[in-house]
Amino acid sequence: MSAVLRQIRTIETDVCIVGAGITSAMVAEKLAEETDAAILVLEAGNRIFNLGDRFGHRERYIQYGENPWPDDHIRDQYAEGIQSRSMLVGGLAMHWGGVVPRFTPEDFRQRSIYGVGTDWPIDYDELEPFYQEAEERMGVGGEPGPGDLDLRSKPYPMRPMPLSWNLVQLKEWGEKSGIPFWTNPVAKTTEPYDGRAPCQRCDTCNICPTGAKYSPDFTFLRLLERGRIELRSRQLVRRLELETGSDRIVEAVVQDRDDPDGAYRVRARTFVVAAGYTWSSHLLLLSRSARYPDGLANRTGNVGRWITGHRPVSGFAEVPLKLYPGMYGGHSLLSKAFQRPGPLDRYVRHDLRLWDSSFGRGPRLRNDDGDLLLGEDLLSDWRARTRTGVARMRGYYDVIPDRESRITLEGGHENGWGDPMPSIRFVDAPESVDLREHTEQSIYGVFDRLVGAGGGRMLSRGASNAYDHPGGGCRMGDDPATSVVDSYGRTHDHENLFVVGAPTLVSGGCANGTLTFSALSLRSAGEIVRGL
Amino acid sequence: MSRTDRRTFLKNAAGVIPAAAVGARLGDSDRPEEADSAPILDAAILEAVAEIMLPTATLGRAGVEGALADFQRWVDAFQPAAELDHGYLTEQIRYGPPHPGPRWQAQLEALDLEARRRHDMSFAEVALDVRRALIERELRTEEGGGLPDPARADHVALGLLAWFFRTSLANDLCYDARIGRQTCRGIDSLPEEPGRLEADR
Repeated sequence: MSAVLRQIRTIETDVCIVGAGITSAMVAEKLAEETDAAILVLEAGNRIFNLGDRFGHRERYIQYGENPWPDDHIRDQYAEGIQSRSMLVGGLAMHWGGVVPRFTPEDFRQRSIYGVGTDWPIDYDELEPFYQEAEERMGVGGEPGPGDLDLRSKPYPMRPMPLSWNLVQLKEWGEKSGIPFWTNPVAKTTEPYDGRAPCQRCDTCNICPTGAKYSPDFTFLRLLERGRIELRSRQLVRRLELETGSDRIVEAVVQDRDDPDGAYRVRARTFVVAAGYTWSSHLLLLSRSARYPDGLANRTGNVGRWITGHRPVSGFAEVPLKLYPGMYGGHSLLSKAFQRPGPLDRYVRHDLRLWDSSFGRGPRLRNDDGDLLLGEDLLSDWRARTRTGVARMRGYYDVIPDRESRITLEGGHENGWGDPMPSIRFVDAPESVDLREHTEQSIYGVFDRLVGAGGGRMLSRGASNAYDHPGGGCRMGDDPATSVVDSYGRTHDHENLFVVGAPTLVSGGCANGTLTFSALSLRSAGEIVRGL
Repeated sequence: MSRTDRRTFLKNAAGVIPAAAVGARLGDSDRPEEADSAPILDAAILEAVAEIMLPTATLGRAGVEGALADFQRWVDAFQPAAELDHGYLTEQIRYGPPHPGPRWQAQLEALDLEARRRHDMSFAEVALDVRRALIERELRTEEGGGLPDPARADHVALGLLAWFFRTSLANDLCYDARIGRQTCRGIDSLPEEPGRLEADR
């Protein structure tokens, strides 16, 4: 059955997906392949299917620092607190870096193995096939690391992105410490793949002008061309509503952003909230009713809570190597040695990445004596200061979230439709607060180990307060008292309401999250298929 | 020659600079889109400034001309208060500065006027050390550290310098290597050490 206009202001479909980011694309594609269901995707932001224009936008981004994705956000739809602004078809994955490491088994068993945090209701082995599926759908190039550190059942879909000259030197430098490094997996083509040409190393992955980097618009375009989905952009879902006398969701209340009088309803058998970690919780909190006065799926008050992520610790070191910044700055080396550390006296886990860098080595206007440097003098000074290279090192460590780490409706402002906007407050759990100094000092110790073995000197180091790759807010679990959804993303309170991707994370892991968000979504999609 | 006539002349003259001389040294990413109208900045005075601010011996005449042509295009295609890249993990939407062109042109004219009043010669005609002294005086309050965002440079001389030294060409000159930063160039040669620039000369 195709989505049809049943009556004025009401659209009926089988599956209504709220949001059109990467997890939405994964779910929509899998449902389209495995069912005949009518699928309607609603996206509040714009549809920017502009592959042919991206060289031009890239050029202005390089030359002037302009936003390479004009109109990629909604002016009055934002949170109070740190949150990325992209809201468009494809979501943040339109300008992501395409970095796709997997979590490790320890991420799913923190409590059982290390006595901290919370175990997930699934383990790595359960998610592993979906990691593979996500890698194949996106097109990931990678090389497996050592078997005990980098678990996988099948090869990567594509050969790895070659290491640059710089990374070849840094790998040798880093491995003098005894820490193994290998190529970071990326959702970028290293050979023709699924209609995409090989990466041209433009090194502006936030706006890939060739389409070598995976972005969800490719998936949506293909589904649209096949007539398998309806995608409505600039449609803001303001609330979900319950069926009378039931806990089933019956319809979404939608506002056409181009028509002040353009409110309508979408009725569906199944609703999938795929709106990222902020807006998924936000929509549920907005969907208050007499039976659910605190919002849908929130009988136990967990919606918006336990928001999580990982905190970056960074260091820069001068290294005794001739490096050439600019070869491919977005590519890096990866080690999972500290994600799988084995038995520990005190918990500390983190990933480890290495890049070449020009930190502190840019051209400068005055020398150390304060003399003005112009023309050849400036160039000579710059050359003299770049005879050795700089390594950038970074570890992401997982922050164990507190229940008060949360998204609320207290952002202090409303959007143009009168909906309260969210507030985001990240709060470490007490055990994470206790571990923080130990964790960050341990990572600094790893940096020192690298420099001590490979040679060089530390230039700078520091830890950020921010959570990167945030998730949670609708975390998964077996116990409704402490979670919002089950391991498939089905809400405990509503049998036909799913939340997929980042919001369902229990913990943020020690690595970029997008592949895990996508793998979880594909596992959710399988469950949705079984119920249709 | 009137300013308009000079602009017309310089615009026409720019057309005879061999494209290959520019293209051989500048990556795709260094080349802004073409502007249709006359350049905002006076080319003759700007060239006289460039002789102080750019590494002219390294670039050679063709290289300087190419860089100036690209800088003029960059200025002419500037969009004031453009929305800037907002990246990850910020709720802030930022906008760029006003167009620097009119202010920079006024500064060029002031340099020229001062040279005429002090030395009865245009800025382009006075000796290099005089030019340098005039420019250094304009930059005396500039602090050290990294170079500014070119569009936010207080003075046209600093804008030109900051613009040039962030180009892919300048990066190549610094490392004496054909790195080609942000030039779409394929992945097969990634593991190879970039070739020396001398091979191109």
